[in-house]
Amino acid sequence: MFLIIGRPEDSFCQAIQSHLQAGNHECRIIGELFQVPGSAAVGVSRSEVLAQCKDVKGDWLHGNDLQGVYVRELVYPEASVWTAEDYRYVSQEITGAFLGWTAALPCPVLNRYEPRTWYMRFSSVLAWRMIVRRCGLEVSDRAGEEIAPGGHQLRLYRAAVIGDDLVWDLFPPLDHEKLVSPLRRFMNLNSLSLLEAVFNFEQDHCCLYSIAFELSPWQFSPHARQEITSKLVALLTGGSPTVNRAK
Amino acid sequence: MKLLFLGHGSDPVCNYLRQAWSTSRGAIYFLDLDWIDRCCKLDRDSSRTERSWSIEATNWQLKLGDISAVFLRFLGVDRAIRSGIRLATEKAGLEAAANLWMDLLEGLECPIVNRLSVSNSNHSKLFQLLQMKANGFLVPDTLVTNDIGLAKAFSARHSGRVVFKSASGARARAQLLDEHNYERLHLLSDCPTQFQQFIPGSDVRVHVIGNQCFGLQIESAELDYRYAPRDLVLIKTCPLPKTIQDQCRRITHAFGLYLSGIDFRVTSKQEWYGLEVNPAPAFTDYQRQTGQPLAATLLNFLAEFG
Repeated sequence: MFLIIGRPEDSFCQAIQSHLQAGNHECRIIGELFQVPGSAAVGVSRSEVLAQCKDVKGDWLHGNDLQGVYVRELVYPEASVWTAEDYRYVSQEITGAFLGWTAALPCPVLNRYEPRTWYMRFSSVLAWRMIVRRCGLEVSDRAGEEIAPGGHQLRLYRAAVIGDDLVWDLFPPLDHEKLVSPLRRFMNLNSLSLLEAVFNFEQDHCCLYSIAFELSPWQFSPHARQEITSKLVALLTGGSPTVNRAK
Repeated sequence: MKLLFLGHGSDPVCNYLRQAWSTSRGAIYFLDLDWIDRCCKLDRDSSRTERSWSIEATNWQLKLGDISAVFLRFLGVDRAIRSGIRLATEKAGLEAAANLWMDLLEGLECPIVNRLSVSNSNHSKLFQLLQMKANGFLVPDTLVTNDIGLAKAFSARHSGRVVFKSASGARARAQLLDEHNYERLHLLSDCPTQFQQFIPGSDVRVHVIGNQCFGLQIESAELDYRYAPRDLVLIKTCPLPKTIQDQCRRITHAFGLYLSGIDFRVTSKQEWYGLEVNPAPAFTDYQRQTGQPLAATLLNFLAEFG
């Protein structure tokens, strides 16, 4: 059994689910984790750690029965039914529980976020520049700049990194092979299996312009999107050593 | 030694440390996070080299490449709004500026006590607990769930002696799951909560500063001593077994922290149950009551980076 954490109506969740099912893998999409109508739990005792969740049919799915989990999106409850203060509290609790839940799963999880990566997933590349440089990549001078319409033209190249594989949108930059090892180092350092990176071509080489841990398939061409889907499914099902396993 | 110090002007811990640094070691480069949108700016236009970018405050200027170390105690932008220092309408601007400065700091090569990224483990008590267990800590039986049936079964398994508390970094009072709270379990389905086996014994806080450990025992009639009247809380120095010191150092370093406050419940049989790791411990009260040189040790530690 494979699990996708995300919105059932999300077309990318549906595409991953279809691919898995086409390969005779059972797959469910769970939108509400640690909130009604769903339930989830992590139990910790001296002898064991057990993560579980309830699917839409009301069946408990135990972590030990899961073959892999793809975290597309953590869905939060509707804000309008809460006061602002309560909503903030509930969201924090759901996030805290979710981060512990994925940490407790024994199966591969894409991405198994640690709190340090989860809370920095919307940070600009400016925040990552020390680690990025240590991994052998250069940070674009233009990183973090807001590009005004009609402003400087940038030559941007977008790639999805899925385990060991890179999927470039349309076509890769000239020196794309030099980027593979540094990107892998970055992912290993941050316990990531999936990453989206945008490079800017500056002074004859590529510099990192932006980085995201959640894939945005709609930003890729249909062909690249298809490749992303199949590579992600392969990573999830193939037991690749690059998949982030439980520690 | 050029110490960049980021904290809230409204935070007593921050002010105590600033004062102590200024008195004993001279100039301090302080940025007030309550006013971070107005008190300074970053000049990155005059140079393409990051080391030459400079922070410009009202009465000082500092190049990024000259910073020896950073002390960061960020308690969130809401703090300035809640305390009435800033208007709610100013929150968006304050938040945007804080995010920019946090991103800038995060990418600095110099030591930061503590980096915001690694402090984020505080937002998942369950994640912390799992890491503590993996690092050899004894931890209480714990259940994090929004399922009423599982919570009731957990309570029954522990004969009703169960504590519940926040699963995140949100400040919330730890309480016993007594009859009154048991009746409120129907509210659980909307919000996951952390339930733990009640451990009879004392609260112990261990502060780790670099490689040094300081133990404190806290006696209070309240389950959560933070909410007890101060004059009814007895704090005294507590000797720490070597294994506990080693564990505390190990988990602090595993999280990438230089400074931490680790909470334990310790039974009469000397079983040390680890509860959580605080990456921004407010230690001035503990220091005042025990005389432990926590601030001095921290300042010495920061000075070593000079």
